[in-house]
Amino acid sequence: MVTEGMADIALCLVITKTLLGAWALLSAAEWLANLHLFRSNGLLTRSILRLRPRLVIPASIRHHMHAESTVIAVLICRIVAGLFLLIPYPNPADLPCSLLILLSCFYMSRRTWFGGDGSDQMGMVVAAGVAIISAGLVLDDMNVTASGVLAISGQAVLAYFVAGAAKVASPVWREGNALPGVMKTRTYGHPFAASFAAERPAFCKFVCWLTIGTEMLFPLVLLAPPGLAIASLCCFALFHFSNAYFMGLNAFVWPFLATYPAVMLANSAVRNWIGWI
Amino acid sequence: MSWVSILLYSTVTLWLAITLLAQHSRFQSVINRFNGLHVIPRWTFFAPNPGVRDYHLVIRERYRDGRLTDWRSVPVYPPRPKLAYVWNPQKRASKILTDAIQAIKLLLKRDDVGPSGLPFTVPYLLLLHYAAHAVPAEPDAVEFQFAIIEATGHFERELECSFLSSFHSRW
Repeated sequence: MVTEGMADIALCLVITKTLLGAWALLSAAEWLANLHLFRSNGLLTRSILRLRPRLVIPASIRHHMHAESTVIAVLICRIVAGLFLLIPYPNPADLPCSLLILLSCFYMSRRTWFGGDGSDQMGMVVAAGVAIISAGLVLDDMNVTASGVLAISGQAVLAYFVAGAAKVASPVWREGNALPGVMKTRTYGHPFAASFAAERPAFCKFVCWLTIGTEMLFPLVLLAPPGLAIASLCCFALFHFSNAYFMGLNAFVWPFLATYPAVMLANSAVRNWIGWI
Repeated sequence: MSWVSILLYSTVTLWLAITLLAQHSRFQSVINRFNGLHVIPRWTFFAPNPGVRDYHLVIRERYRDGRLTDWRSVPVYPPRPKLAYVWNPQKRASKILTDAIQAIKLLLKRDDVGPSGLPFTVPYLLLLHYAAHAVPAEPDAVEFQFAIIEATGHFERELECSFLSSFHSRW
């Protein structure tokens, strides 16, 4: 029999795994568009990366593990797993599919070494969390599902808080120079935003401090009344959409939004524990 | 509470605690030793030093008689597509270049590597190997070197050479 708590967790799982599935499809497709990087003349050629220290896999197996065909196979597995996760209800495929995505994250981070970003890290976190929550639903064990929720929400809170704390420690951010500096680059910038920011130093300082303040205050979402917490998460979602538009950080949207259902469940648990519900 | 859930709670709590420690530079070298699969994430996005420069690779060659060619750009990644907020595969190549260059800068500061040990490191060899293959060799050129150019600005570009490699044999 599904309890009310389990129903909330099942809803959380559906939203989270759908967003995880979307990220898995996008990230795998973008790596497949970059297969030239893995070839003998590419930036991630195995002939150089095999020289890395602390590679524990024997050289004979490493040769196959680093091959372009293995990369393709892993990415196709990620795509298939992502497609299964888009099924809009909890089902027995969720556990193996999320584990498959998790293993593909480990493989890609090891194979590429360079080129990974925060979306890959959060994708790995969400895949691990979805695997634990799915296992909890299969076992009908509320505590197992709760540990999956703790994993996702805990890493989300850490991610935002640490991002804010690292910025407040930086004079470039505190003085408002980070925004025009980043916007002036072709890699992460935007011509319109760069010209707009160049003439408005006070606005840049305000945006930098707004970013620092909101990121550092993210843990308070766990204590806020549900309506305020949802409104705050909508603002953070807008933040990610604006980063995608202005900075080209398209892949961050999906795994970071995927953490929000777990954050809301953690909000409910924390408020319940304190006695505010 | 089942033993499975106790084990999972303990593992997740430990994971979160190590993640928090890993954000501080004091613990990073120890944690990185055991973090080959990047299980411990780093959440310090664009901080403390945000990337305010674009990186480019350039290459020039030396003929047998000592003459040098002009610098030529090494194509690493095309410009960002207009729909980058939806589809942006180019970011991978630019991130690989940025990561390799950041690693080179760190290795140059290390006492056990420095300028003399740098040519034997993986980030240096990656850029060297890529530069050598991405730009066709000039006929009769016997050696080449690469340089890292840092740039800023969308229209009026400010350029600065931040690293110059030694000459290496073409063959």
